[in-house]
Amino acid sequence: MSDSRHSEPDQSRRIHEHPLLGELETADMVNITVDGQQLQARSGEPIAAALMANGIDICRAMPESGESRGVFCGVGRCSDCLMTVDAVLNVRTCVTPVYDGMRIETQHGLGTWLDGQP
Amino acid sequence: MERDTADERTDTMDATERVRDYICRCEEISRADVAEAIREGNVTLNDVKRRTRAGMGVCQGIFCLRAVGLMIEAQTGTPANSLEPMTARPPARLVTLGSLAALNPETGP
Amino acid sequence: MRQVDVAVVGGGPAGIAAAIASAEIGASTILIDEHANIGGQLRWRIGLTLKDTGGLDVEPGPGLVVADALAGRLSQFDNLTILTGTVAWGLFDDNVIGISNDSEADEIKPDSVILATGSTDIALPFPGWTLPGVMTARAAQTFMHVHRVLPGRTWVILGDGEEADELQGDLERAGVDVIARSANPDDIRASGTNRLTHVEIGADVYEADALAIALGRQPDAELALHAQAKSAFVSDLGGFTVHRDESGRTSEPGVFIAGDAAGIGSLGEVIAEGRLAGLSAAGASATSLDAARKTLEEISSDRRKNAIANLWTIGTGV
Repeated sequence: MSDSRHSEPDQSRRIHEHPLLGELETADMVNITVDGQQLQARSGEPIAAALMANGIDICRAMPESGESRGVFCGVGRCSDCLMTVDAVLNVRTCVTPVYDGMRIETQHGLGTWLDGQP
Repeated sequence: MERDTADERTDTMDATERVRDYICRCEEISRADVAEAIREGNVTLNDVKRRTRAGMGVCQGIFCLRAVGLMIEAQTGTPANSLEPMTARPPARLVTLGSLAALNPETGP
Repeated sequence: MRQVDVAVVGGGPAGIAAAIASAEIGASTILIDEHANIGGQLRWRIGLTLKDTGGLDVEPGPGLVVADALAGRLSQFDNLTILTGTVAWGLFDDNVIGISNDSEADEIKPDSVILATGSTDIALPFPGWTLPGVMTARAAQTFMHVHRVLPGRTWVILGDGEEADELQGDLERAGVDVIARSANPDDIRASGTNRLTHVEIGADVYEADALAIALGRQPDAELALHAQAKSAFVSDLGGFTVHRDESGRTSEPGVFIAGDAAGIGSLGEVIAEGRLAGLSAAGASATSLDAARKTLEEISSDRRKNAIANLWTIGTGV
């Protein structure tokens, strides 16, 4: 996995100003944990968008090859951005909104259910 | 559709890197595997799907069906646009078993 | 199980037009969309401008403004229910629709269902297309315009048609660089260790952190195929779609299809089709149907008309 995950979050990919869409509306920020690292996200945005805004492009490692995957279709059709979220496997992160306290893990292969989790 | 092997790639690339030449992203089915299945006589989209699992994944084939069709056309001469689509089966999206368990078995699908 | 007169799957331009048409003449109507907000392509293809309203009572203008106006119109009908964030994942016997919003599931039993499920981007594979950083044009547009995040800073585009031009304009507006374009999926390869870092086009090598596949859009008629509707691959309609007439009637009773799901079209075309399908499904008067048919006739390109007229004489059944 990329080392960048544990370096200073790169927030420069957020589009604050846009010539057609105007200024990005302010949003409540929530705290999420991604592979143990605390990050901030705009309340209600999809997990994958929050990750991307923090410089994270890798969501899972494939079951057969172990190769990394990230956002591909971006609209919930493919299987590339699946991650483990609050111990639930195979969550489509491009269409699942973040909430405060959400714990997100890179999914390795088919993932593992954690003992003692709901 | 001949392609270079990893060994023939330019030296600007990481030499240790694999050639990730997949047709089906979801099930990690390579171009070589699909080509082999067609050579074996699997010459419809459903044949290839059953033989290789290409198109059997979460995306239901929407991102690989054209490519498989074009490979069938290239290898057999059957025009890709004359092929029947892969059989479509629910669910059309990834849904949780938990949410389906809530359905009423008497009236549900 | 919910009973309704008309269920519309997909809240893009065609689905909205269908739902309004159905609700206008008093049919109990339900509109289902998987996204958080209705509007469909109007929300991610922000360069779109609605010029021809296809018989829909809305001011022409930028797509996003139109989407908001239409959302407002929809909310005025007492006989129309809108379910956003809801996936229609299966179409079963008697047109029962399975829906789910990730926390709960339900079924809808409509007299008629209108599939306005839009399009999916066309993708063709090439070495390295599974690397993070390689994505569809729609993913790039959705992340930039809906979620307001840049998937990358230095882009290569695969594609040379209208969709590639549209995406290039979108990327330039967002202030990022498009350093190369290739028309040919057989002549491009992506590489990198854990994510995209390089793109080769022929003998040229580019350093890039994003590669967009902008090869066009294909109809998304999957639910119609669940119902065993007769299908065909029609290049002029964008790929596999199902047999249907101008009103959107498929081979299966009570199953209608409209808009991009029934063949990739212009905004005017998909709206006019959605409206006619909505009126047909809800059992409108002959006068209303004739008016909607006339509007569609005026808007539709000859290419689309011919492709639809020929559908019933060609192609493969399922």
